Amino acid sequence: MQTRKTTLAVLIASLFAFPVAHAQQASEVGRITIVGEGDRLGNGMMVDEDGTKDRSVVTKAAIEKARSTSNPFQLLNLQPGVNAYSYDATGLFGGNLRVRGFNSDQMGFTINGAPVNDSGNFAVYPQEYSDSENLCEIFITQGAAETDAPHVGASGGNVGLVSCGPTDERGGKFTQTLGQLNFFKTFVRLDTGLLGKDSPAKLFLSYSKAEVDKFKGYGKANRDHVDAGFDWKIDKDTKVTANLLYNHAVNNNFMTVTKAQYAQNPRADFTNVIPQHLAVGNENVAANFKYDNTGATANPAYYGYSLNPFKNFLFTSRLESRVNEHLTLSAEPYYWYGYGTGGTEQTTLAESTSSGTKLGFGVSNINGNGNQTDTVGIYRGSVTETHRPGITFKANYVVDNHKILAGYWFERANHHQSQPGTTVDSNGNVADIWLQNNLITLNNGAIYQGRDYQTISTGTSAFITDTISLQNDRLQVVPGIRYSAIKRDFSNTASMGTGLGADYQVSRTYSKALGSLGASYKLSDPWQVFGNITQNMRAPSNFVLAGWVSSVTYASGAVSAYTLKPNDSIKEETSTNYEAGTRYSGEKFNASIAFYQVDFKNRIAQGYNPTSGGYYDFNVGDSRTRGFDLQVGSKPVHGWSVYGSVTYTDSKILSDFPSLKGGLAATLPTTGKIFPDTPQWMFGTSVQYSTGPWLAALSGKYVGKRYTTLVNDESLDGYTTFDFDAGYVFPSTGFLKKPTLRLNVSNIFNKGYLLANSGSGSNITATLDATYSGGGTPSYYIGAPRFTSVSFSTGF
Amino acid sequence: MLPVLYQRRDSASLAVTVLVMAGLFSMAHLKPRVLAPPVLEKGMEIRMFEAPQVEVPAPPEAPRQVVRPERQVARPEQVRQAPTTSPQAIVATPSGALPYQAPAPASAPVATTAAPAVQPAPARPAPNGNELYVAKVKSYVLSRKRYPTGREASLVKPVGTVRAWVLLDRKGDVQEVGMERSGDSIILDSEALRLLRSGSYPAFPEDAFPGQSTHRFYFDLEYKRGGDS
Repeated sequence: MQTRKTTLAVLIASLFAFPVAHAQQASEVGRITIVGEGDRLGNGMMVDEDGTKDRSVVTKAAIEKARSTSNPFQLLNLQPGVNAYSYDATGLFGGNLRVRGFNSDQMGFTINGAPVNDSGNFAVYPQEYSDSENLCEIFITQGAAETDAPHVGASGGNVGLVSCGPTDERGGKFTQTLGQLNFFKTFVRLDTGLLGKDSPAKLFLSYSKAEVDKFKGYGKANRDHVDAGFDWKIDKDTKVTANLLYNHAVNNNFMTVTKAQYAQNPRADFTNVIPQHLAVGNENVAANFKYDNTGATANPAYYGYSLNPFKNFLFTSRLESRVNEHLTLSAEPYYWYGYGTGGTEQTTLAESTSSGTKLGFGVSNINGNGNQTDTVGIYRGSVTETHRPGITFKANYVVDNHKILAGYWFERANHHQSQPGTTVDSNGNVADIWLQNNLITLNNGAIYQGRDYQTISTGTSAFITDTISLQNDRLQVVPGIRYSAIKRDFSNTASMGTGLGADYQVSRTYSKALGSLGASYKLSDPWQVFGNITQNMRAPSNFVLAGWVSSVTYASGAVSAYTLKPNDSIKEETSTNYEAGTRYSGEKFNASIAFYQVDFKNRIAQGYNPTSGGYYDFNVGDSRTRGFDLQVGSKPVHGWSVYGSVTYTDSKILSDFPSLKGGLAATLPTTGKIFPDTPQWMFGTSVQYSTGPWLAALSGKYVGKRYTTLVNDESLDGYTTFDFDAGYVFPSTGFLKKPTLRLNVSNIFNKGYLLANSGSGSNITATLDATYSGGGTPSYYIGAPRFTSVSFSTGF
Repeated sequence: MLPVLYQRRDSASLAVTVLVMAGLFSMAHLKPRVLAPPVLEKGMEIRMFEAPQVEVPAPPEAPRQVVRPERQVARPEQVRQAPTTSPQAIVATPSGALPYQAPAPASAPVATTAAPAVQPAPARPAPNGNELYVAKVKSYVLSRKRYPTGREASLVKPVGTVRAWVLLDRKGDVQEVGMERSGDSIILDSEALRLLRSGSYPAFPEDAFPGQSTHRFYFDLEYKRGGDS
């Protein structure tokens, strides 16, 4: 009020004074350069945020110091709130991430603004994404979904990967990395530089090839990757950017082990003994194809039949046009394509003599031995093929003290999930690991399928946010609302799978209007307070629409009668995220702390029943999580700089969990229990010293005790790992620009630890008591041992 | 690849159509409200001088050593408007330097446009009050500069130079901000104006811009990305 009076007084005074006071004068302060990212704060793991949400950024400076194969989960690991792990040290096999108790498949992931969560179950596969050499930034909002982000599966926060565009200068980059376990990665990038003067365009293309052996057992990761980027500035107000990534990977899986197995043999893994065929008879016996990966008497599957072949490409683009100083319009089309299979493909399938009472007259003669009574070892995998085009339209409109962002997102994901099989020989050769050719057929010639369904998921979101600046821009208030919906048109084609024996179509729509309100206030130059309330929503996975068929009968090889039992019990999960925090942005360091609470309604948890091998979705009732995230990053002082994060999470399930015990309804006592794989405490730190051409950084991460069942009757101990990264930059010579030698050592103290097996598509065991539905003994990934690699990179 | 691109033709053409239509609509219906820079009137001058590259402004003694007999304040009201020790200014000065002490009492009223009449010796020019204040403003803005954050800024990674100004009164309070030249990005333009508007600037010392109740400061705020290397 006082300020306003004064301002008014001055204004009036100046009006009257104008004729007397002569002309006003002006001074030139000069140029102030503001660079977007770099090593100046918290070793590149922090930026000077000032929004209304808890948000963290990993910059290119930090990405460059890490091993060149690092996946985004590894790069985010030290950030507050993040509990990430990777199946191995290189990151090529993938891993998992949890934040504030949200699993990665409850969070929204984008690459250059395009959603990359699986369109069916929202799973995330970080190893498929951009080469880290081409990544400029990874950002994460720990709890609040972004109103303008294209997600219908994010009850938790958002993660975004942003590619570096092509460079203005013509040139390129080359990196060669070598390490233990026959690890190598070769990366080459070429940049055209600016082409043309009036409306310059630029382009880059990169290719990389990487391989590494598994640190236990047999097999390896094998990845080919292409990134391309295109920038075209048509005029000063119209720009087009486009990116393309292509990834082709064939990885062997790591075998998960129970605690008992780990105690017996910490390196337990799939076997190299090739299962042998019989001339005639049943191969579903331990001596041939039957396996048991987690049993007391270990008889694991053959490593060559536990593969993860996957290829995908993603095209993203952005056409931006600035209409005037107030309005910018943009269209961001994208197209995702993915094809692949995974899991342990080793299994057996019974042939059958031609019979009209079986679908397609039954399975044909697989091994071609003249009879149709054998049970034959085969390679069968769950294949997913996705075509997913989408587009986001946005309008940014600035008027007075309002900054309005409005838009509409639309996508149509065509998701075909099948489960064909192919033959293997007794030398370990698979007819086609991609399951596209030489497929096993039925007696009527149709292709055998363990599942065969298509889901067209139409996602839409209309959103508007208004950033209102008040009190000389010290106060910002950001109300927002979005209406998000996903329609799943599910179409089942009769297959041999349980509950899938007849054709049926169902359609379900999940939708919600979701509000958000955020505010930030600048108390003084270094201090700011912020807070927000954000509603998030996650639709159920598409597979809740599968498996509805029962009592199916066939006549003449086709369906004659069946019962359809709709499973409509799964509702969308909603969460309300409350955050309040403060940020300090000083001369020597920056710090931020955010306190939060998440109230969940109808939280969906997936249960895994090792006995039946099935995944189930459950609404586990309501729950809430509270805690705080803290991060501090210093600016370099005499070459030294530090970054640190502290995460405290207090999660509680608020209701018991309806289950089945021995086939009868029973209740699992989950009230008051802690979320699985959600440690109470985590600490991350990184200390860096840089002088002249030298750089060395030591980072450490502590992850506290984690429960691994819903009733908290099994847990994993906390662990601390340390990584060391060092680099030396040679002077540029000839055509080599900034040749750099890097050393990366992961887990330098070779700490052994276990990781909850809750990859994308979290399979959380309900209880150790196997008589309950979803009960059993959980199995775990093993933390990667010490691993060293060196790399040489140079620009040219 | 090609069939895939072919399948995309609908969404791509839709995108382009909608954009063009929306663009045409906007151009027809939205009057650009240009934040007009102040019109330079006759007798008004923009003094160009490079602010001295000093992180910490020179000690207060320096300006006092400059003999400037005609350094006067035009109107008695403005003397009152220029507090010698504004507590706000003390807090906000990043270097921790105190504002200048009040100069010798003002007397003669004229001498406005000819403020820097006495030029310091050319060999080693001691910065005058104006220059020192501009340097102070520059180092203050430098200490607060930040690249825009948030989802939109992260995705677009805008680069460009915004030429913007802030009009301060003698107490250092922001009277107005404006943009002379856009950085060709709404994100950068708003960020630049926000940077200037939300500042807590130090009060003008008596010897800075004497006779002026307000003064305008021009900045070229150049936003860059460090990542594309």
